[in-house]
Amino acid sequence: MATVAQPQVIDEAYERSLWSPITVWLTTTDHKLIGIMYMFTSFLAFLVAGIFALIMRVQLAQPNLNVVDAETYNQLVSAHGTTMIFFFVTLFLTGMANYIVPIMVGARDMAFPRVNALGFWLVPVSIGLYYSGFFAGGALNAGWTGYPPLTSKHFNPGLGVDFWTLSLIVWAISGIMASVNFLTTILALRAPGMTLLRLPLFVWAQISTSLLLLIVGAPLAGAMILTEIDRQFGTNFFTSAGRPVLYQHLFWFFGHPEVYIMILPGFGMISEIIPVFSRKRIFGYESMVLAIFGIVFLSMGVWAHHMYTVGLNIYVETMFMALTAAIAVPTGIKFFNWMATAWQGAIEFTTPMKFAFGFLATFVIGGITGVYLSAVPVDTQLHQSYYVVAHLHYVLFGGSVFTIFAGIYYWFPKWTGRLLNERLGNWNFWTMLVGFNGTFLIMHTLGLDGMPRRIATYAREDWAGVNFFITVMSFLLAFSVLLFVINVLYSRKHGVIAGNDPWDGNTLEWATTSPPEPYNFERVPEVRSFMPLRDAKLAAAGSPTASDH
Amino acid sequence: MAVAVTEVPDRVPVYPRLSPGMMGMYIFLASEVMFFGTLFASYFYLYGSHQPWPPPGSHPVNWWPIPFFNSIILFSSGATCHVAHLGIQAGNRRRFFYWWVLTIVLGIGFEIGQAYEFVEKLAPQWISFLPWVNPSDAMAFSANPFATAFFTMTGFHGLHVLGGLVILCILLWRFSKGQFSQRHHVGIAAGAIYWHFVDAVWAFLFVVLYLLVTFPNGYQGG
Ligand code: HEM
Ligand SMILES: [Cu+2]
Repeated sequence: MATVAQPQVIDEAYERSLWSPITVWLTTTDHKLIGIMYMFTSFLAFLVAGIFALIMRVQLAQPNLNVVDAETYNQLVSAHGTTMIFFFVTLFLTGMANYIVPIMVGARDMAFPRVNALGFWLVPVSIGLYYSGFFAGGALNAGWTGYPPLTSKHFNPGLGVDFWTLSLIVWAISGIMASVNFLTTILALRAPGMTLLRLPLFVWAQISTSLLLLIVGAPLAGAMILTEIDRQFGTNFFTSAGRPVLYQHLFWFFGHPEVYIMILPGFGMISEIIPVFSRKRIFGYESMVLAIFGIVFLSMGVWAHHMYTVGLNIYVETMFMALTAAIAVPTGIKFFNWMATAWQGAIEFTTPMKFAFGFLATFVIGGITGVYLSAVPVDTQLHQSYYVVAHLHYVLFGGSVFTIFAGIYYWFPKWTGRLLNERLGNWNFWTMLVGFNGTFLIMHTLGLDGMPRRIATYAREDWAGVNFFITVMSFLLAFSVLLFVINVLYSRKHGVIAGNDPWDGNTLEWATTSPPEPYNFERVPEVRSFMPLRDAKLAAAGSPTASDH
Repeated sequence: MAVAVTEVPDRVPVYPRLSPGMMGMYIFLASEVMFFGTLFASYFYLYGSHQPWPPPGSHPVNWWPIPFFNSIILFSSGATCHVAHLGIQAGNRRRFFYWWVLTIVLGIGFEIGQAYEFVEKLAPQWISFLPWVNPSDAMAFSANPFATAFFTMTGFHGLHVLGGLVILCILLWRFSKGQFSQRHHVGIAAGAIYWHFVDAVWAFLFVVLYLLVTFPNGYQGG
């Protein structure tokens, strides 16, 4: 690892600002500080939702346990899903992009810094609204998808559902603001010479994510608004006089693209990390960009694969089945490109690279189970079983969360000026890999055996052993997160000084100080390829620039 | 530190001449299109799954007279807004001011018309002193899926017009503070685009919720 151990002057005033009066944080419009606030807030959400998961696992460790009652269990399972999907993964990725994307494109800040601040401050409002439910007689208890009639006033008179709809409306508004801001920043504020086909792949990933959220954010808000109108005015959108299935169409028109909102930025990070630590150029840059947009377009035409059992027309189901399976094609292209990039590279197994490889290994399992589930006859059997729980965690935890950890280990030195500890990082990675697979791999068989998801307890004695094993492993997984938290707290103060460019990177964020000055660059850099820093280093070493984009 | 400067780049891209402000507004409108798209999609879904439509027992809305005149008012406000925008582009502050104020007045006129429509259907007893109001023509919000969708869609459009009016007024206030000039008036251009969008949504609402409901079998003449 090319760690530069020379002491690095971190700008005093800026460093002070990180620990400075709360007013700095409350009033900042600096995309870097806002990015850190996004990450901090959503990581707290991750810890809370993780604790909920552990409580659920204790409850399920043996048949017929009553650690929590069924109503509490339902609230925990709903809060776990909502928090992980809306408040942790999506928002943590927004925070990372907030910090990195403007620097990667050579901008001094986002296009609309005040909108950026407002978008962030809506996040605590949104989270606060959801969690208010717990103090107002019980939070949402209908699962993170909140189908009617489970959420109708008649069956669910409490305030929890109302807090949930309001929370998600605010969340969608915040996400739309961020999307408008990202797209404008990337389109309008690029450094001279940075053509679209010279954008780093992480930036392309952010374009696609923002585009998706821009398009599907409003339908989510719409579904929530109509739910709430039905509840408040006794109207007929989703009642039996209207059509309950309409809700599912609206929700999943958002919901499926949302899973890509959570994975595409991760794809982008992997596309940055693998070339750097393989010391090779990314294989097939253009096909990577094309594949991203293939996924974007397909992902908006597959939502009904979550609704195969509601009684859709068989021809409609067939069409959705074909389109769903087709997503495996662009995803496969990306996979093979990553493998080809690493192939015969001078691979350095740093912690970010370990997480990137861990991602490749686990995400592919989730992708394959996804293709299984896309088949109508298979899904008719497996829907609402633990098989789906296994699938979604392989793509969301093994996929998105592994990329988030890869990205944190990769960019932490840029954010703080110090590297995360590699030894702890190694332990963090291996405990997480074993804990994760231990927890979720065996769930596939539980699902095949017919164990339903979202149940507070079960009676079958022959499921006891497997469930007990899963619970033990889930604590190993939690332990790995604890190691990570320790690593951050330790390295923030005592980590190795990183310097500007600890990994010998390719992209512009490594061309400025760690952390960057408030204005990011003293001089706006000029760009000749999608690896501008590499060009500069090669030019300084006297060799001709290698990249020719 | 200075960074990544190698030599003059070979291919310097031509950047879009659109300012970030305008670009942001156009991108934002995409999400607004999706919001109304969601409402229209829900409407047609309910339409397709309920025969006859509108369901019996509701008093179908009529395109005449208020919705018709309201359309004329709102579309004219789009035109006046455009003239005002041309005014500031030509550096004619007076022209901008008068036409912009006229736009706001027309917008308020539209909102009054809509408010009347709502009261006439939801609470006719409030205005029963008017000789032509027939309290039995009421249509409750929860009467059936048509009524639900009708009030939701026109209601959200009305809220967007209200939001547009707030924006127009803020821009007028900023104009009076001298914050816009012939060259620098991104705010006005973006506000105008938003106003045109709100107009365009009404065109769809008028056709789908009024004309198609008044003439379910097409216009029969007479
Ligand atoms: C090749 C790609 C994929 C395919 C073909 C696929 C297919 C499916 C199908 C058919 C289901 C419905 C299962 C059921 O409820 O019966 C499903 C559920 C789910 N998938 Fe995927 N999926 C893919 C990738 C992803 C990715 C990348 C993510 C997230 C990062 C994801 C997250 C989820 C989640 C969260 C659910 C469960 C939703 C619920 O709560 O009901 N999937 N997937
Ligand atoms: Cu899906």
